[in-house]
Amino acid sequence: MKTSRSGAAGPWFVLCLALLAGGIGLEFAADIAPAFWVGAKPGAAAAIGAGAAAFAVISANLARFILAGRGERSDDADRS
Amino acid sequence: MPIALNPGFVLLLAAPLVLALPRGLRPPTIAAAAFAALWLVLGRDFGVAGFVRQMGVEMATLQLDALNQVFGIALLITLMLIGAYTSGRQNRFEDAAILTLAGGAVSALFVGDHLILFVAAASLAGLGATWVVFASSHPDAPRAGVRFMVWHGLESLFFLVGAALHLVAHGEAVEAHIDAGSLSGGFIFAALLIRAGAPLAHVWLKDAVSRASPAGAAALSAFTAMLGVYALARFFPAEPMLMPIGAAMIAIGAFYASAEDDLRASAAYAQIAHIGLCLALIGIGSRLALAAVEGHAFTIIIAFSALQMGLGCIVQILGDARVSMIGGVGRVAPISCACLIVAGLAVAGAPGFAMYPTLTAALSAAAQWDTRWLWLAFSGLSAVLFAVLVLRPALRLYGAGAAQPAIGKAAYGMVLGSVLGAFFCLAIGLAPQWLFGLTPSELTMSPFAPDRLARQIELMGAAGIAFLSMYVFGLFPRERGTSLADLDALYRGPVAGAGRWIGIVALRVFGAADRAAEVLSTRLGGATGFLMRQLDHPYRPRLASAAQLVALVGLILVAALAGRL
Repeated sequence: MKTSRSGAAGPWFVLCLALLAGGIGLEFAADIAPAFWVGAKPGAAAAIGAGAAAFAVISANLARFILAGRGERSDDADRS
Repeated sequence: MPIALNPGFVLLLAAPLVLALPRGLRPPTIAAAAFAALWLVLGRDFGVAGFVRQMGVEMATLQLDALNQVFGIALLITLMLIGAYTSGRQNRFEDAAILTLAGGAVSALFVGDHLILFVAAASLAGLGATWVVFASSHPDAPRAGVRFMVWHGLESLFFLVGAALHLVAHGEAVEAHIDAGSLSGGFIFAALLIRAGAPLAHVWLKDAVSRASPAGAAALSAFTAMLGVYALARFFPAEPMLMPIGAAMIAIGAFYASAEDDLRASAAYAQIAHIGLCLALIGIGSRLALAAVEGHAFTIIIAFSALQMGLGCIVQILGDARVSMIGGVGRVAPISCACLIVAGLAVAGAPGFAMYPTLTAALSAAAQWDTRWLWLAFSGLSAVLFAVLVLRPALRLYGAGAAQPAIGKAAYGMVLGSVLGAFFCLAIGLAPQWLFGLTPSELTMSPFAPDRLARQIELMGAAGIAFLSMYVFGLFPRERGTSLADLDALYRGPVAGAGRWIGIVALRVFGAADRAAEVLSTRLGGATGFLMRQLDHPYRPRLASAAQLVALVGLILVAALAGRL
């Protein structure tokens, strides 16, 4: 039976939105030391986070497409 | 006067004892042994003690310093939690195996720089780990145990060769640092990379953890690979090779953790990624980096054991902990699932949870232009794990739809162990200064400084929004009960087949050679017998004998004539 994917996502979405807003607000409000590279500049963490999430989704798709075995886990190929 | 006893010996002495104890006394015995060992660790000043002479080699069985103290405290706290956790089930052999594993690992920590004793204790821990897998009731556990034994056999072989060459080259001298470029150092380095789960050897951890029992998985998470991290930090600090190796472990771990349906295997891959972070920090080798390794190893041990204990409760309820089958379980087992989410947040480095303070220390250690790629990998790992070990299971646990029919129930002891694990995840995350005070180069940074806190919550918020958006719009693949092929698929499939084929061919060649040898020996035996029979009758009258007699008479006549002349 297919179930809705959005049901439980709502509260987590609100939580993450609050985290993002709070983080960006605090980062721009706080007195922050000079960044040692562009990835450490204010706002860059959001880009890294979104990129990491995209990496997770792409990895999952890629792994399921290339490396997934068939059926349920009974993957001992050396089973005689 | 403080007792000069290696704390690991207490656990090793308790291991045979639990085999004989009734069920009710085994968990308190495990916890009491861990407490006694912790008392031995904390009751002594730093230094060397317990000298013995064995087979002509002088050795100290106890060397306490800041490095092994941090690891020892983490392992012994975890053993106490596992002691509480084991009260929920009945398996005396697994209890003894866990104590042997923990005893070997803790003994290896506290022999300090003595390589031979370290190798002996680490090999004992490896045997204990294999026993833990064999003691599991999982249907694939015996085969996983054999594979695990092969990995540990290979590691022990490298250890043995490395230690022997080291002994030849350096005698009994105890050296704090070993050169990975030397022959002996290379073997020891390779053995430790296997133990730490470096690329190509990373498969044993997820293979063993996903086939072990719930308590066994928690013990394997704490006591196996982390010993490799400790030894690399002790013997190979600032080894540059460890930086790319660590980065590769982060990439492999994050990749598979994102895709694995089995959450216990996914957690094991996440642990591989965090161990990679530790190895990269050891490779950086600065005082801050080495202090960050200490702290991060401590929180890895606590947080991943807590995560495996939480997942073990799900295994107890459903028979497995696959994302595809945990839908709605949050309503059936709210406490276990809450502990699971807390442990997941700790593993992801969420502020206020165990791994956040040590992750900020790691980021500070890598915050240089030369190592910015490592800094990026550390940051990205936190975001990936938040998506795949917190949001992904949470969406299923508390999602719509009916829960799977439960086949069992998490026992009180298992829930208690998970709650205690979650408590430690929160306690360390909220008050990390005592942990920072334990590290060899005391960390003085404040993890809750506004810039660090802002960066981390911004990172996790953005990762969460991006992941949830892609999940809701169906870009994340639907959860199915599939298994993913890793390197082990190679040696369990084609390599195992090739091994079987080579075995059959070798047996046939051996059989043919055996038959040929049998025919040859029969013929040689016949010929030898014939010769012997001939020699047994030297005076038998024959034509040749008559000729010899005539020749002899002729020679005598010639000699007589020559004498007269």
